[in-house]
Amino acid sequence: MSIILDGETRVLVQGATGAEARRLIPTMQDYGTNIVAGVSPGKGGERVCGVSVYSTVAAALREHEADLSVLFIPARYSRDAALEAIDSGVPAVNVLAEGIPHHDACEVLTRAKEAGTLVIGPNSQGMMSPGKAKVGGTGGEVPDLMFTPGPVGVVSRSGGMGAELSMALTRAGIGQSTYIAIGGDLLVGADFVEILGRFEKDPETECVVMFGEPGTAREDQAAEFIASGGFTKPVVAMIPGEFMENMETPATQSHTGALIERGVGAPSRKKRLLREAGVHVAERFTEIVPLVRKALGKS
Amino acid sequence: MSRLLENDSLDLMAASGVPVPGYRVAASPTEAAAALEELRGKAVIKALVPTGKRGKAGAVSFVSSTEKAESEAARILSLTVRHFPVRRLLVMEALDICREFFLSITFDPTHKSPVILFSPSGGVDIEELVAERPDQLFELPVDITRGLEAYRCIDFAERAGLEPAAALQCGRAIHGLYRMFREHDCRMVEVNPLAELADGKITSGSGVVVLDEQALFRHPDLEKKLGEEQGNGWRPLTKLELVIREIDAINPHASAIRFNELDGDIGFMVSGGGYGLSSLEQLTREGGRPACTFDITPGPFEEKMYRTVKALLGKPGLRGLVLSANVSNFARVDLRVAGIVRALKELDLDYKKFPVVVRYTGPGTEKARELMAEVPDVEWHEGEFTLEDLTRRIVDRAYERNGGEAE
Repeated sequence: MSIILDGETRVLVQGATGAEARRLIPTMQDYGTNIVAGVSPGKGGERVCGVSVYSTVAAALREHEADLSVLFIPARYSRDAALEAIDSGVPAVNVLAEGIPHHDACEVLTRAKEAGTLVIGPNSQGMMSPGKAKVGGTGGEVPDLMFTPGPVGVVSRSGGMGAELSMALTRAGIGQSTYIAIGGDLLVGADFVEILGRFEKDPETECVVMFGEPGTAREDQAAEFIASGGFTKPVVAMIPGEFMENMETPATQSHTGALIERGVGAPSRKKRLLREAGVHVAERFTEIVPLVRKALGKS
Repeated sequence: MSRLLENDSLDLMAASGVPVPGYRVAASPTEAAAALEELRGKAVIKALVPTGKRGKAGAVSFVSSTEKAESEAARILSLTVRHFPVRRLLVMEALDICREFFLSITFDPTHKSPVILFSPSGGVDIEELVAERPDQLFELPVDITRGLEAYRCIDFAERAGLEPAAALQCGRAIHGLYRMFREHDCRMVEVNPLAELADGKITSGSGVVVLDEQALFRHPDLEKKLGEEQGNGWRPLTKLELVIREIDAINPHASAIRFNELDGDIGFMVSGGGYGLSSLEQLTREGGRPACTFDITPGPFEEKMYRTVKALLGKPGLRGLVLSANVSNFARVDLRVAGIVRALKELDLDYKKFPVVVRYTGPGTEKARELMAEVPDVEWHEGEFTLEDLTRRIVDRAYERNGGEAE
């Protein structure tokens, strides 16, 4: 098993006729991703890499069933495309674009919550269930350089670091069950808690590596979730950025910033809370693989 | 951060129905004195710079005579406030304040919604006050898809402890401010203090508006107002940062560069948000002093890499250069490296003495390896070389530690 995505998952590609999608669709298909249809406004009837294209999500859904829509859509049009998928009843949406306006992201996440739609992203590099399927940019043309099937769930706010630490695991002979890039923006849909909850139920996942970042309470919530028994498998975490805590940054220059954060968001606090919850926190990147090995009982 | 200057913030607030006092912009002591006269002889002069905590920097002054207005304007115009030289002043009608409230709107990443923050006890020490008395900060989350009606704002102000007459005015101000937050794609707006005057009227004692950089494409008029005075969010741009901005502008829609100059001596061109941050943390642990941070989004980046390396290596006092990025999915490593190789060849330094350590992996790695081999003595590494190997290596070589000569 994997979470959210496997070889059976029926994937819709929005923005299918764009340059990025044309380049990525073949790599996803080669890897085993079950792409059922594409959507591009005004391009209904075209075909991309053997995939039928429809002008709207609703039109595509009249001919196909879809479990997940992945958005190869520029930032400024992502709100509309995501809302189209949500309104059409697609159960999960992966928003890839970086730089989506915050107000747009907020609207999308609010509407998704109402509709019960799972949103991964925005600013997500995609998802990968090694040996089964991949969506988005993750793995790109060289998936085997980074990923191999195995027992470790990987979840990261940073797409680059998720790929980098998956590569380190793969080089050490440790495979992954699923990798999810939850997105690097201030406002994202699925957070660590959501993903941990799914990894908990996945019998193939024996251990999770989570990569956090400064800012927001996402890691604090994960710590609380783990401490309260929501996630019972071993977790290895890394959160860089403690060295910046005393540096002058724009966030410290308004009362509002200080009031909304009130100490939350600092890597030192996140690491402390995670440690208190029993998480193995790596201070350095090269500590991750040995910690995972130990967690898997393969020291 | 895209923080508007206070006069522009007050303009937006006034247009959205948030009460603001009279104000003028002055660029000289004479103009400040003239503004004082128009504002009925009592005013506050503030430095017009895109940063906060001006009062604590001595850049806010109450004046009530022409002489004082001229002398204080001259004094403040000579200041540099948190790295920003003062070029213009805001002259604002002095207020007869009897109570100060705090009001702001921002996004709450936990609830994934806008949130209104209000305190019946505002002022410059709001953070300390709320730390001591958290019950004095009231929060109203807003469903962005449903909007915010005035009655909810008025009710919120009453629940924060205000009497009906004050709550009505504050509620209207909150309502106007939220409309402004939505219409102009703001990241954050703050009114501190929201002031109750001796006559019972409520007005804004100041205004801060931070725009969403990711939404500026919808607001070209506001983007113009930001200008270069913004700097990088906490200080004006350095000469090198201005040069890199120009390089970035050659094709603003492809391969956007983020660059900050720091005062260290190792050229640090390690891109990828999480990877760059992790590497920077490791570099500083190793005792390395970064001369910059750098990020570039994937795209046709050869030319930008070429120009950036050339510009950066012109910075005096550099002892080495490290170039890397997290494993690439698509962005061709050889395109990046082609730009680097061109720059390093043209600069023609002795790379035995000026260490350059490079680590890339992803599509095009083999071609990149061949290209890099054309420049003698540059260290090339691939995926097996971790970010810790990378940072240790550049520190050892740049500072000649652990016998860190070229291999």
